[in-house]
Amino acid sequence: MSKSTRILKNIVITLAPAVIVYLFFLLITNLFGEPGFGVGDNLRVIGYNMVYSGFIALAVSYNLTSGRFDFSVGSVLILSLIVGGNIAKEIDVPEPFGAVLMVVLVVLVGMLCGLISGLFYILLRLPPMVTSLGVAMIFEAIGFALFDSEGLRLYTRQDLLIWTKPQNSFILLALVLIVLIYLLNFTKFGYNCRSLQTGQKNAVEVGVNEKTNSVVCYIIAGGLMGFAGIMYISQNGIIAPQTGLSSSSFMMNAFLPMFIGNALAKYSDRNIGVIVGAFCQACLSSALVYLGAGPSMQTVMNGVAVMLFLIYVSNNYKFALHRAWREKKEKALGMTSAAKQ
Amino acid sequence: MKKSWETIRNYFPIFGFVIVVVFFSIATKGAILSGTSLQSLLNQAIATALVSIGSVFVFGCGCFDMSMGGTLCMTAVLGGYAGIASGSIFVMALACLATALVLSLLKGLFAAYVEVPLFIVTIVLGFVLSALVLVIMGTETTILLNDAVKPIPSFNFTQMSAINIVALAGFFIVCVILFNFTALGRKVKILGGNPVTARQTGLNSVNIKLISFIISGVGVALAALVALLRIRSVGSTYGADMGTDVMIALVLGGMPLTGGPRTRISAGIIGALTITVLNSGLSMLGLDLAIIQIFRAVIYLAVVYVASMTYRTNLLPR
Amino acid sequence: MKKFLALLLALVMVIGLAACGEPAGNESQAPASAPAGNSEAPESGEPVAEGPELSADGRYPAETVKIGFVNYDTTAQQFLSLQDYFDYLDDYFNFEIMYSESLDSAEAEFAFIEQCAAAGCQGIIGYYNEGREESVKLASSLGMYYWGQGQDPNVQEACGDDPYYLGSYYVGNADYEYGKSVIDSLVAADCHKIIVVTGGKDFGVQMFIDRYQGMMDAIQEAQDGGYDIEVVYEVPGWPGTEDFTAEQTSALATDADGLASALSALMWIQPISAAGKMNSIKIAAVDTPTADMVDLMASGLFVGVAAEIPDVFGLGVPMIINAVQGYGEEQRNEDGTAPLIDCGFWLITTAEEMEYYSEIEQEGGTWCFDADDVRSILYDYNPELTLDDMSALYSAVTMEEIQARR
Repeated sequence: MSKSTRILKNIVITLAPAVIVYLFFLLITNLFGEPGFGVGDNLRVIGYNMVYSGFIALAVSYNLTSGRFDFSVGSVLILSLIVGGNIAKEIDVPEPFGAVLMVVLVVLVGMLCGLISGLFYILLRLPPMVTSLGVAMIFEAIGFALFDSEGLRLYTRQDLLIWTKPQNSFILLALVLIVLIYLLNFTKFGYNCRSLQTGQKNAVEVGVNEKTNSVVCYIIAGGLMGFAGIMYISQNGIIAPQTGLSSSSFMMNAFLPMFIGNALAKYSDRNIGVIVGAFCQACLSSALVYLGAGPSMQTVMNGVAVMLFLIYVSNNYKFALHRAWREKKEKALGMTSAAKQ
Repeated sequence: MKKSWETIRNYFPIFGFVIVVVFFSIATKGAILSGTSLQSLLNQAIATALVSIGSVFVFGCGCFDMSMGGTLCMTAVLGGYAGIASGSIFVMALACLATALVLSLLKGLFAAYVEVPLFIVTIVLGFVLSALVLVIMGTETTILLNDAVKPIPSFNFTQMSAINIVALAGFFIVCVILFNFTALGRKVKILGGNPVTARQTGLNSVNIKLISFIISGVGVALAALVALLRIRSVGSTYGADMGTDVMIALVLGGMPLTGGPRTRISAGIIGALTITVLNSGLSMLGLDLAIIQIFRAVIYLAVVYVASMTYRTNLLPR
Repeated sequence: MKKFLALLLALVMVIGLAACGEPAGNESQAPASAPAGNSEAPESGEPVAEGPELSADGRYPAETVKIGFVNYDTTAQQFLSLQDYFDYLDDYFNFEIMYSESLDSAEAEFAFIEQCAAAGCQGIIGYYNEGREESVKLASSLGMYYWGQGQDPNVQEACGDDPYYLGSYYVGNADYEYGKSVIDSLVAADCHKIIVVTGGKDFGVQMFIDRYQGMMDAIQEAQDGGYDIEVVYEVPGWPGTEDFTAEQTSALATDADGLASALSALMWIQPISAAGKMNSIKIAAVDTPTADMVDLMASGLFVGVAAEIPDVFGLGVPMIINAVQGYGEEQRNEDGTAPLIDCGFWLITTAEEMEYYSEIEQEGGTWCFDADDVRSILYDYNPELTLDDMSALYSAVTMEEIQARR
């Protein structure tokens, strides 16, 4: 296969899930006599959900692929919004720059939270799940204690909430993606990430600094949760603090896109794969709304989708093995029959 | 030196428990050690302890199960429905056992035959089970045992404590025997420590995993039954925190979440007691709500840090 | 060595925390022994006749009454207001509240009630009750009074005779009424096509189910009365999930002219504005009055807010203090059952009302029921008190009625 056909094939495979899922649900909803899915307003919703869940899934993917499960991502989203957003609200700058300033502030606070999460992890040397539960409780409590427990209320500030407009959110996503693709594919950091992901012990033994790498991953994840926060506040205009680890439910949006992203990683890039996955998930949830599934049914369907997908991805190598075995067997049979003749 | 250090650090989980108890005894001026409080602590620890002790087997053989909350909720709800429909504690107990065993067997089969990151699957499964409970319950919000066709006997605070002790002690003793005095315990440890070695020594990993999940199912069934008898009602949110509580309990009990040779049955019970004292003690301090949560996090991390000194590795843990 | 150091560090940390924890415990005892600490409070109190034990400066009752507060969401606006209210009352009466964290199941609720008993609480305010009558029985078996949960007839039936059950406030079926009045205000604002926001109705949360039922019945009534009204879309759940955004957008794509929300509707303002429908949709919601909402009402976007009055839950404090002081018998119905005290709620339809209510209900505000009002329903201060007096006071909640009391 020539290089250009290979690239073309990879592009097609990467984008195929998005197209197939979209067309599939378009067909289903229309068959059930519920038109409206995937066009007009709903397409805008799918776009929004893709960007919002996409940011969360990207954030989770930087740690979870290396076995670090982080309960604190939801609390980072809330805390970075409450702190960054309330500061941005007070600073007076001319029209479009206020919104940009808010993004910068929220993402910076998010990165700071990520740094703290990361430091807790490498200093305490406890399983990340355990550490992140404690960190999440602390972040939630800080968000609750600040600003009279009111969270962030921006619904009167149209000038700051410009990021749900599709053109703006896509620009934001594109910029982030460019940075992430560069980081993951063309830097030492990305190389280390991948080596730690596939073989922690070997990587550390050949001199990869796991601590630095982990902290950087946490900082990236924190920043990405900041971006997700921006998408959240731009859509809803208000966020209240949460306590008692209820912030961890934000993470539910991340699983399906992340695993689709992982599966597509070998054809192009994990970051792009995650966004394709986020698009598929957004189609699924919109279609279910059109098909009249209630919120509990949504959770069930999304969960079942994640599990089925995981089973497929984790076991599809068996099909490849089986095929290889069959080819080998045929070849062997051919040789024996040739030998007999 | 090396040897004695090994011995000392085996006691760190107990040390962690003692720290927590001493700390809250001082902070609550002894209130946490009063009779009512001790009974209450037992009542609260019971569900976590029953589920955690059973989970020791599952986590021990390297299966990371985060769906305990959903499993417990589904078990209690179906058990509750059976109890109300029959008016009999016996039928209720059977229904609990059946539900818990079916769910655990499914998880066990999954863990044994399907190669997936079990940890993620069980997190998602937990969410799915809770959502399914909502679908099953429809417009009902709470199932009340008082609505049963025949009255189900109710127990007072002291009777309930007695039932709790019998359930916990019975299950604990059976598990100790299974884990420490039969081959099962060693098999679990070998399988969790190194699956390849386990296969090469000829261990049947499928059997070990299935038995482990069945034992954890019994723990869940007991926890659900005891809770039903005590609370006499069950709602769709019941057991929501059990997944994380079990995980925390095992870590506080000094057992690595990846299982293996350092697995021990005592982790379930020590951890459950520690986390219960921690949670109750904090509420009793009457602090500002934000401060409580920060306090909880800091104490929790400190105690986990101490308890987990039994198994430090050079690599960052995952 | 390093490990020992780490261990030492952890120990120091924990002991340090223990040391921090202690004064917090001491503080709770303070009001009884050191009334001087509350010097700024007692200005409003007229001279009280009968010596220090009936003082108005936070020394009554002589011994601190500790009350457990069962809560389901520590971040809810109403709870935050209520917490401020208790802080305010604390300057005038000698009681202490032990708040639960956000509880989410009957099991957690039971655990908290037991912790309250161990911590020496004498009463429980059931702001949240998942265990129904079992929660009341538990409190009773642990020797604590229980006040709360008026809407649940089962509790009243099962525990009405229990001397430790002190009854509750009563607004009919409160949540049902709130739902109804939300629709009523939309009808009054001439809305015909309604989006209904149902919150936790599909998640088995009773208060949302009741509010929803109230809304549906009100719509039926309006239709029976010949008013043209229909539900064009129902939106379940909370923001943060993909399906909520999808439902929300679909709802706003309809030609709806009214939005009835069973929970705070503040998260609808930005989406409505993004959809360019600020002038075509009117909102009515069940919510807690805040200063933010004054402008929203003035602009005509909000046409009605049904608000449970946070102070109403404060009624638990005098009820429990009365019981602790030995007036348990006096504050029961003639047949010996626990009373349901009639209470009002606010249906706020003008910016003026919103401004007034939100002002009195914030920190430093004058509150709907101030210390004098509360004092008037304590038997030690008012031996002539009857249950009817309590109901009369707690149902007098309009702006005029509150102002008349001041």
